[in-house]
Order: sequence, then structure tokens, then C-alpha cells
Amino acid sequence: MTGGWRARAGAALASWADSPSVEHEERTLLSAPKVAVWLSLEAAVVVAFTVAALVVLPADEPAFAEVIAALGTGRCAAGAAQLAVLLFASLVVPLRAVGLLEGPRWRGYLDQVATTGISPARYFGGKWLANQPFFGGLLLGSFPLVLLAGLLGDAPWGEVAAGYALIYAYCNVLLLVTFALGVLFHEALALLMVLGGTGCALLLEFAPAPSAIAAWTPLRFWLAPAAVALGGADAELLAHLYGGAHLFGVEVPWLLWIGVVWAGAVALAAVPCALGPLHVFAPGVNNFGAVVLPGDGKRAFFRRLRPILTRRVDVAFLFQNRPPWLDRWHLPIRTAHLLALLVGAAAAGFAALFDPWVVERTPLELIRVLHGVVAGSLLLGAAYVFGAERNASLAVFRLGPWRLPKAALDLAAMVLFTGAVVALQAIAFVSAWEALPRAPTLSGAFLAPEDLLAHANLTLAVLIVLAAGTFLVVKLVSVDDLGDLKAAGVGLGFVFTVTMFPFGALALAMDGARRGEDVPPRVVAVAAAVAQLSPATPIAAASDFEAASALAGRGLLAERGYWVWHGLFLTCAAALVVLSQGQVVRESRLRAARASGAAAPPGAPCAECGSSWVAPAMYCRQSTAAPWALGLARCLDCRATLRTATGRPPGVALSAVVAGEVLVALAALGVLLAWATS
Amino acid sequence: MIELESVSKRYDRLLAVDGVSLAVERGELLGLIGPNGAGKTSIMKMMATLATPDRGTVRLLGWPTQRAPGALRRRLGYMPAEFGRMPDMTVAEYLSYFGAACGVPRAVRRRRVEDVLDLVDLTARRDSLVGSGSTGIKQRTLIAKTLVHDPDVLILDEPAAGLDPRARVEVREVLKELRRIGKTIVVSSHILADMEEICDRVAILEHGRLVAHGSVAELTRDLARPSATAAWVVRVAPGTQDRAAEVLGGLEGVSSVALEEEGVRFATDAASANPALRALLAAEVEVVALRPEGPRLEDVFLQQTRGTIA
Repeated sequence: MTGGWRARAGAALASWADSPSVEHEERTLLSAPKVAVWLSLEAAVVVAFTVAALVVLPADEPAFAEVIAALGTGRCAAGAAQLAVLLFASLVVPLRAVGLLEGPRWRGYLDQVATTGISPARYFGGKWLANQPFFGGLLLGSFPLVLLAGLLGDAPWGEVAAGYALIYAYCNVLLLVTFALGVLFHEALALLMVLGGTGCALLLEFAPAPSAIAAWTPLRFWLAPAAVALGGADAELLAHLYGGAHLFGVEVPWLLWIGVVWAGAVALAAVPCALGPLHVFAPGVNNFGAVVLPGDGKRAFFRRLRPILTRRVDVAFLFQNRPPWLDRWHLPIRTAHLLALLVGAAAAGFAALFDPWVVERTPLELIRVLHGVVAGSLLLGAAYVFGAERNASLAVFRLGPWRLPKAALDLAAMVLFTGAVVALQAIAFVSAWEALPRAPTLSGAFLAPEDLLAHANLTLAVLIVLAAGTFLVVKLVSVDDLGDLKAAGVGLGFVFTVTMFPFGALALAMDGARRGEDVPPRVVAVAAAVAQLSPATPIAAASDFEAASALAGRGLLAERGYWVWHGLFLTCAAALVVLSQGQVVRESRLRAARASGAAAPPGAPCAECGSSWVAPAMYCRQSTAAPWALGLARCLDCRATLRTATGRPPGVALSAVVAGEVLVALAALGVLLAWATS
Repeated sequence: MIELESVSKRYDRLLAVDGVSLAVERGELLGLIGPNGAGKTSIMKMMATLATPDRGTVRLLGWPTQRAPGALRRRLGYMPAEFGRMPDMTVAEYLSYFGAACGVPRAVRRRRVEDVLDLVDLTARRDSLVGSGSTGIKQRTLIAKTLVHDPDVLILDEPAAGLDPRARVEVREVLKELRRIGKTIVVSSHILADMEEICDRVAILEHGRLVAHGSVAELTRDLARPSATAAWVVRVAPGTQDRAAEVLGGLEGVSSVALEEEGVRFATDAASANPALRALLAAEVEVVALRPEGPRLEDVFLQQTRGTIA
């Protein structure tokens, strides 16, 4: 078996070495003048940085002189030179990683590349392989300067070699991450993201944050000894934070942890490089170089400009060259990829927050707030990531006789992620249980770990419900070809409305009551009832924030209002999502039938475009009742909403049904509020 | 080798391809002709797996193009209408780049590049920058690129577009050579004389529909019925074509006169070509040859299409 893997790896490397990307890089990257330019720039950066670290900074700041005295000049000089190499590589490597897709696209020959049938793995693998000599050149080019710096004192040459190995590995991680972001977004955007991200990561490395969340680059390899050498009160703290990662009571050495982080990053980056962007070749987005969506004839010119979508279509054609087994399983792999990314982030977040060493030194009130922020960000992020269809609502995974819409996989992933967050929180509390009683508090009062756990559980439950609502809302609105940004906007809008508006109502009522104004009890009661929509209300009510619970009204909506409101909302939204996804599966079946040459279903043809391929609709974005009240259908060609009987757009009839629905909803709300305040 | 079954393609309200069914046999050279907007490029992109049909199926080598496009593309040579702006590379490097992309092993790639350069007569320009050549050079480079991995099927979109007469003849000769070595070729062009000369079969498209399909002989058969007007081609001495056209244009009963490569084509309602021949000789035009001319692809095209843009 091992031999088989070796043979396969050897074959893959051989095919990558024969990739056109290698041919291209050989001509451009490794040409003698360019190599000379790169090396000169690198030498300038290394010299400048080393001189600054050894001469300029110690003169301004005595602490630096102390560090140099403690560690030795040779070690510091070699370390500073290697840090300069790291910084230079962080800037240069992302620059070298872009151009594989946008170059051929903008020059107008990506179609020629796509039709060669080259597999994405070979295309990207060639570029990766061709960059290895470049990385080697960067490291070797700096070696004389590092050697010279090390000879200023007694540099530990084993540490220097380890530093080089880390920089080399880091270059490869950066390269692959830039590849992946370039596939998913745009290579120019990927470049900015990686450069910005690297800058933030380097700043985070300096910050007193645990390695579980702050170790991304090799920086702490040099930083940790310097921090220890500083001595003083902070030395112990920095040595702990800059050292290994503390994961739920288990200390993972820094070197092992950074290896795990980078291996995870490489594994996650490999998925987009092999699969490409998620795309469904639906009508209008199934032509290389030309995206023409239904209704474009009526749209203004600027509304027909779709650079992001056009790029994705073009790139998707290249990624059709992936192996058939990847094509078959791409949807579950993508979902698992996102799930792994989020679970990894959740694990790191909870581990850092509940590190016993950190807990004993952080006020519990702050931990409670940070817990809410971490859990909320993760859950709402997951709700958006799994909720948005990314213009691929028609993607269907065939599992035996079943056709599972993408939404089914997303729902499973959302449930799994929620379970993972609950489990991680439990593990985090167990690992920090003994440290929690020793944690300081801002008020000075003792908070029992049991109370903290109960509060954390309540916070998590409230956030899970909010995330579930966001997931359903985003899923619902993005099913109709809504773009990613719009879906994100709707999701954020939902969260904002649900959190801020009711809380605002409560705050106004409270403010009036506090100032002794004659606020009618009915108004206060209504505000209190509406405020139950906000996740902040039950969390605040369960905390020692007394003012929040002072306005608790009467009746079910005021006591358990959050759960009732959101329970009702989730039920309705889930029903609509089921209907919309049923429509997705039905349309997918009809498209498959049409592609195989089957006859069109009976019924009136579309009056808009004349197509006979019209599917009965059970879901309409504007109205819940309209599909049944009017008998709606949707044209598979122009995607117009039609009346089944006539094949014509519903027009005024649909508006009337929508108006009726609004009236019924307002009446129901009035009755509900009257009941709540009675 | 290539099959289209009731294929349709729509761009919003525009039905670019409307239920086209077509088959191309192994070793055949099929010409796609039609007015602008007839759907030629859409069909070629679907054949080349760069577009998926909204309805119907496109089969390449017996496989639906959407089932395993990657594998099919490796057996396909596609020449787009646009060359693109290639980075700074020589013609040989360009061919080697695409040879590598197509999976031609390094060991045989160099030999293959030399072979295709020889085939398209570009050996002398192998070290010129690929973007610096004339349109003719670029078109021949593109053809060489489509051949570098020795594909079974060639899809060539307007290979003669923008070429001067000499380059056009060169490209035509290359296509003839490819047909001779047994490649299956689909080619689109507006130059009907070339298509008539090289194609085994021709498909005429208009408004996305296939309006006529068959060999040139089959297509012109219906137009070759006896009629009052007969067409002739008279080959004259070099440099006297204009004079001959002038003489023929002045004759009674001559309805159309057109210059050909080495002579003049004219139609007359006279019983024979004798009056025309006598007039030419009287005008001291040296007649090299005279032959009757049947209906041509151009006539079929004009008869079958209305020339309106969809």
C-alpha cells in the first residue's frame, strides 16, 4: 500500500514537473535578471532590518539592549536577519502566487487553456513546484548575510537551520493559501487579503494572545526567547502566551502546534485548488466568456456587467477538468471543508478563551462577554456560510436514488457545527473548571462556576436560535439566484433588526420610566414584549443586569418571549425553506429530463419566452399563499413566475395576494399584542 | 465522432441555436456557414465543451460533452476565433506550453512541436515572438496549437478570418492536408469558395436553425435543373480579366458578370457561349479556356438564407 502511495505521489510530481506552469515560470521567474533583482531587494531588507535591530533600536530603548545582552549578539543578529527574510518572503510569495487564472483570462486565452483538458491539480501543482527553486534561492541568497550576522557572536546554528526550515514551510503555506483565495475570489483580491491577513497575523503574534489563536507565522520562534529574556513581571505571562498552545488542558509544543496549523491550512487550501469555485452550469451561466441572464434584454447596460459572475463561469470551465470522482463528490467535500474550517476556528477560540492560565488572570465578566462574542461570531458566521447558496441553489448531490439539494448538506453541516460548538464549550468548561473559582471579578463578588456554566449555556442556546433563524432567512432569500453580497446583507439585516430594534424599543421605554415620565403601562408592556425578540434580552435577564429584568411584563410573551417569538418564526421559515428546496429538486429533475431529450410537461407555455418547460411552483419569494391561491409556475428558461393556467405573469393578482397577506399579518400581530398586554 | 441531438441554446430571449441535429463522421470535414448571428460560434463552443446546451445533447466521440469534459478535451483541438494576447513567448515556446498542457510528454514534445511547425510552414519563424506575427502567422500558429497533441477532432472557428488571399490559400492547404491525414474537422467560415473546395459536407445555419445540410454536390443538385440561364467561366490571359469583364458586361443577354481568380464568371440566356466567345476574340482578349459552370455553394447559400441578422 505504501509503495502504491509512493508510486502515485511520484507520478503526480512527475506530471506537475511537466506542467505548462513550470514552462511558463522557467521563462519568467527564473530568468537571470529577475533573480538578481529579487536577491538585491532581499539583501537590502536583511541588512536594513539587522542594523535596525542591533544598532538603532537598542540605542533608543534599553530593553532591546538587555535582550541582546541576555541572548547574545550572534543569536540576536542571526534571528533579526532571519526575521527580515520572513518579512520579505511574506511580501514576495503572495505576489508570486497570483496570475495563474487572471493572466490567461485578461489576455484572452483561458479558453485555450481550459480546452487542453489540463487538470487543476497539475496546473496549480506545476506553479507550486516551479516556485520551490525560487524559495530555495530566497533562503540561500540570504544565507551569507545570516552567516555574517551569526558570526558577530556565538549563534546557535541548529536554531538558524530550524528558522530556515520554518520560513521555507511558511512560504509554501502562503503560496497555497493565496492559490486557494485566488480561486475562490479574484487573484487581485486574494493578494490583498493575504497581504492584509499576514500583516494582521504578524501584529497578533506580537500581541499578548495565546498561541492557540495567535500562532500563524514563524515569528514566535524568535519572539518567545526574546520575551523570556526581557524578564520582569510580564516575562512569565509572555513565555506562557508565546509558547506552546494550551488546548483544553493539554499543552501542545509550539513547533507541533504551528505544524498542525499549517497542515490544516494546506489541507483547507488544497480543496479549492482541486475543486474550483462552486458553480452550477444553469442557463445563462453556462457559456465561457458570456453571462447572459434571463431578463437581461430589459436591463440597463450597467446592470448587465457582472465581472464576478463572469469570472466564476470562466474559471468553472477550467475546473471541469478535475477528475470524475471529485466531480461526483464535490458537494459533500466542499461542505466538509467549510465545516472543518469553522470547527477548527471554534476549537481554537474556545481553547484560547478557557485556557486555565488565562482564566485565572482575566475578569469573569470579560470572559462572559468574550464567550458571547466568540460563540455569536462563530454561529452567525456559520449561518451565513452554510445559508448562502452562492448562486448554486440548483446544485444537487446524487446519493443512490435520492437527489439531495445543497441545502440538505448545508443543514446537516449547520447541525453538526452547532453540536460541535456545544461540545467544545462543555470541554472548555471542564478543562477550566478548577481555575474558574480563582478568576478575578470586576465587582469583587464570587461567581460560582455552576452559575457561569448556566449563563454560558443560556447564551449559547439563545445564539443557536438566532443563528438558526439567520440560516433559514439567508437560505430562503438566496435560493432565487441572489448574489453572495445581497444574501450576506439580508442575513446581517435580519440579525440587526432582531437584535437592535427590539432592544431599542425596550431602552426607550426604560429611559422614560427611569426619568419618571408618565409612560403608559401598556406602552411599557408592549416594549417589553417586543424586546423579547432580541437575544440580548434573555441573556441580560439571566445576568446580574438588574435593569433589564425590571421591566418584565406579564404573560407568556414577556417571560419566555424570545423562545415563543423565535419558535414561531423558525417554524414558518423552515416550512418555506422546505417548499423552496422542494422546488429546487423539482426543477433539477426537469432540467435533467430536458437535457436527456424528454418531452416537455403538459401545460401552457411561457408567455414571456415561449418555452414549454414550465414547472409548478410551490414557493414564491413575494408571497407564501400565492402559489396555492393563484396556481403559480416558473419558466425554466427565463425563470419568470407565471400562472399555470394561462402561462402569463400573475401581475396585479399577485400584488393583491401580497397585500392581503400583509393585512392578515398586521391583524394577527395586533391580536397578539392585545393578548400580550391584556 | 460528433453528434448534436436537438440542441438548443438561448441567450435571454434570443434563441441562438434552435433544435439543431447534426452528425460528423470520422475523418470528415464539415463546414458551418451562415450569416452573422446564425449560431455558428455557439454550436462550435458547445462542440468544444465551452458551452452547455440548454436542451438536447452534444456527443463527442460517443460521450455527452458534459459527462467528462476533461477527458474529451484531451482528444480535441479547439481553435477559437480570437487569438488572445499571449505573454512574451516564441512560437515554439507557445506550442510547447500548450503541448505540456495537453499532456504531451516532455520527451516527445520537442519533436511534436517541430512536426506541427513544419506542417503549417512556420519552421522559419519558430523563434519569433508569438504576438509579433501577422494575422496569417497567428492563425497558422493557432492551427499548429490545435494539432500539437495530435487530437482526433478539430474544431476551427473562422480559421481564415482576416487573412490576405495568400494566407487564405495557405490555411486552405493546411486544412486539406489535415483532412488527408484523417482528422475529423469542423470549420466555420464566411469564405464560401474555400468551403466549397475543402469540405466533405456543409451545414447552412440561419437564425439558429439548420436550413440545409449535405455535401456540396447534394446541395447544388436542386439548383442545377435546366433553366433559361446558363453560367460559364472563361479563363483569360493574365492581366486581361477587367477587359473581358467589360466586354461581357456589354453583351445583350448577359445577366451577371463576376471576376474570378484567373477569369470571369458570367451568366447568359443565349443558347450557347459562342456570342460571348466571339465578342472576346473580337476585343483581342486571349481566351485560355471556357467551361460551363453549375450552381455553386454561394448560390445555395443565397437561396437558403435571407441575410437578416437574428
